Amino acid sequence: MTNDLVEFATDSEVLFLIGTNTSECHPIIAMQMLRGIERGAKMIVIDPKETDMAKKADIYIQTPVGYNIPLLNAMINHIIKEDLFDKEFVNNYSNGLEYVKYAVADFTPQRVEKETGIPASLVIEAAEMYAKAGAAAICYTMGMTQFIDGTSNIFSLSNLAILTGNLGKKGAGVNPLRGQNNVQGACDMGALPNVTSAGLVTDAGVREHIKSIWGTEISSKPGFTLTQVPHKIEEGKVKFLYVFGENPVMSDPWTEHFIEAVEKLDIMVVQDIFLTETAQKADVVLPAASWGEKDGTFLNTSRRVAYVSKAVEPAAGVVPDWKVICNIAQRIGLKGFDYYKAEEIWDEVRKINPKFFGGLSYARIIKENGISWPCPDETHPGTPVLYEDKKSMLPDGKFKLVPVIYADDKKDRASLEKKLIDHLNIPSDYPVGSGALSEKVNELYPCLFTTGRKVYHYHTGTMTRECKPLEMGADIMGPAIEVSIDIAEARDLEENCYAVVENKRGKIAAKVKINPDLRHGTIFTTFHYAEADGNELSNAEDTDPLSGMNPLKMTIAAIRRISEEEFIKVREETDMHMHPSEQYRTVRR
Amino acid sequence: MEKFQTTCPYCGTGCNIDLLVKNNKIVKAEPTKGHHVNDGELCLKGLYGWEYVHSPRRLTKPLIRKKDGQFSKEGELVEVDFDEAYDFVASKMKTTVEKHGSDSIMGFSSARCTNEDNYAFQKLFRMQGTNNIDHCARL
Repeated sequence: MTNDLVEFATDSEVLFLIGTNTSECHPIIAMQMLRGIERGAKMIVIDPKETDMAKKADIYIQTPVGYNIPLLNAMINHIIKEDLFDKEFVNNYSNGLEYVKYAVADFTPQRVEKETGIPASLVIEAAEMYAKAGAAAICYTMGMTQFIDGTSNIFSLSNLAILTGNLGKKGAGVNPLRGQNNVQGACDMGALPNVTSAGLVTDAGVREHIKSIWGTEISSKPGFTLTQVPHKIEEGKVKFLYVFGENPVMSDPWTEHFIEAVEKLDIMVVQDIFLTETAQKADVVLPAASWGEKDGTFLNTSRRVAYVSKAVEPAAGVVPDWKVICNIAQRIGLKGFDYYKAEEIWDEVRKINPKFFGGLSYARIIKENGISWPCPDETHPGTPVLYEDKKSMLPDGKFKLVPVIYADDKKDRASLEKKLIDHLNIPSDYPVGSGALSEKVNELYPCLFTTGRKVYHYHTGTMTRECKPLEMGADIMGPAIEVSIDIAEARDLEENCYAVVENKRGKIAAKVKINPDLRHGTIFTTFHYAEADGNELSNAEDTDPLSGMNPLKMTIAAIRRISEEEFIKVREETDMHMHPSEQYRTVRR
Repeated sequence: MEKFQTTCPYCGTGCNIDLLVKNNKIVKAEPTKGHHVNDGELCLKGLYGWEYVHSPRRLTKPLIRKKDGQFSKEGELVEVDFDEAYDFVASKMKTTVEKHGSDSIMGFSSARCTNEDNYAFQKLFRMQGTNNIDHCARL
């Protein structure tokens, strides 16, 4: 996030929520937002589901799943046309206004109304409320990023913020609400195929700096992304996969495809605290200490480095993940893994990236209850608000307004982008974005299918399903398939009847919940339960051309009512592929 | 009873929790009063999401897939001691790199684990000449 989440309570005049179910997934951030609303802030919510936050919003726009760029472009169009943009900010601190002006020209609020039925007046009202605020904060989650145009969705959001000068001040900004405790940290520590903890792998200066600390030259070639891995295994390029602290069998798209791929590996090593669905398919399983049994640091969504304290001793022989990794590294014969405690690793991170972390000793992090990077030295107070000097992190210090266009057919994206580049003479190093739907509903699969979380559970349920108050509190029946009213009516689905949802990739069976909050034609389920994991159906074939992301938040599916007998049959099949060995079928669930 | 102030392991909000510990067991979680992020409040997961730490289903011993006492893809996972597991992983990682090149190994790091865990993991891969490392930020 560019800003500190507490500013939603204290400073934001408008909260612009898109693709986030904040009260279910980030309840304490929702609390800070509601404090802001009590103070007098206004709220705009854009989502296919009329969430609790949507019900509390001043403006709610119910979009079809995946329909973001035409809507955001229409808002930008209106803001430019009505001269509501921040000319001082745009002229002095940004590039690309002319590009964006051209790209949004065809997108009007009236076009949105024609395509979706969303009233043009509502789009205009939202655009004006956002643009006229002194400080407006954009907040989003995977409901914006997990599409084949996720990167372009975020270009559109940053365009809105740059145009209206909503950067570098309290209560404003572009704020991804991070879904996992240490996503920010995993990225900042360099657990990415193209980025190290000091910068890009393609940057010779970065590699030289790392060599000065590690004593080894790192590769300049970006690695494979997680979403490429099943294909790389099938091509025989990846032979050895080491997974720690995640459960990709359940969290990755198209379960069956992922399972088939990992079976072709020479070796799969899984390091975890439980025998997860992924661990059950591994060749080697390594236990490690969990949260509560080790110390270290997390980085929250506001880039705040916070201390994690050891509270209890793990079982005999079980050590923190970093120690397991060092044990292996030392046996391979690698140098530089003789850390005695977590703090020594952190002190190396501070040397690798002194600009961000130089001033953040363990002692200071603990004493000050967390500090946001950049914090280059011990006297620096940390940086809860990025860009206060109105300078971006790009070489020329300017913010880039990125033209984003839209293709009716995903196959035309590249050619339309090229046409735009040629027409406007856009330099080759200037980014251009485009949107399109990964799949369109058809006769065979007439429903839009999306996934999300419930407040009681977390991700693939590895931890929360082992906590009685959460597992029992959520719903004793486990997963549910939520359907919009029109889907229920057309298919004679009643509350709590059994149904199967399927598409070409897979199927899941569960009880039906009719949810009037869903936009018509939409099915929703979670990915918390191995018994009925929404990712069995998710699209693993299409990717965002810039990030490699799969469209996990959108696919197409069919649904029909089934008997209890068929329900049990589908559940047994699911159990067999999630928990393949009889030895483990009763270990979990 | 001892009290340890820590950061919640669930979403990215970073709420602070006071864990109350008795006889090496967490017995209660309370929101840290007056903390900048959560200001004395916690959600359901923050309050009740710690029980898994003491679950009887926790892994405590390494496992290797074996048939008739030997490593085999067709075998079942059997308990081994820590040295055997670490030696086995290290030798397989080393021989895979020697035989198929640095880019034949791949690591999925964890957005659930600490900065220190993640840093050590990417260093393990990069020191062996590959950038094949990613994590579930995308998912």
